[in-house]
Amino acid sequence: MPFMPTKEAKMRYRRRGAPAIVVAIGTFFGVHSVFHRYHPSEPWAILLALLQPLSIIVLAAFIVQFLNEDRDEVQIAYRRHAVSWATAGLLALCLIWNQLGVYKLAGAREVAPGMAIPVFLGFLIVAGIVLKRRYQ
Amino acid sequence: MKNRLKVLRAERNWSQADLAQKLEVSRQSVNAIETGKFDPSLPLAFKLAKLFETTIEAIFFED
Repeated sequence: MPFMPTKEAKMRYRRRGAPAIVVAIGTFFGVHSVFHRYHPSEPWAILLALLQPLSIIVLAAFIVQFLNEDRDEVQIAYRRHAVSWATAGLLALCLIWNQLGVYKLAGAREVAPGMAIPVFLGFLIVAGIVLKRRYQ
Repeated sequence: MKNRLKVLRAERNWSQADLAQKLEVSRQSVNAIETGKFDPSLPLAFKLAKLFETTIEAIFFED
């Protein structure tokens, strides 16, 4: 993928970031699974509902840190730019989907929260390819 | 911002890859700076000035 850091940067990051990323992804899908299977009542439901977006924020922070691990400032700027566009794309898609769902238009179905991760990565790949022309 | 990187590099017979290696950045990054697509930070500008044994103002100038 065009926006990925160098091999050395990846290795430096893996030692520190990989365990935390596993915990963040585990929390995200774990909360989803608890909601789906046990339908928790209010105090626990609120706590779990807060945990899920928190795990996404943590995950986003780790992705940005991972992409910034490279020491090449042009590549860092390029990746930051791509992450910004991917975040904006995901936010726009969520807003549109929410509007369609609220007004029950275009048969918008409920989507599992876990879909946010592949959609974000999809936007990141597209943004990375488009922005490559601008930076290189 | 414009720059004289291409000229300075040519004077020393350095390729973009040579300069990239000396700066510890990618060749694409050297190209982005050289073509004015990216303005380097002060530390990188100082590194360039030191490498070419000149001042930052002698390398970078306003449009």
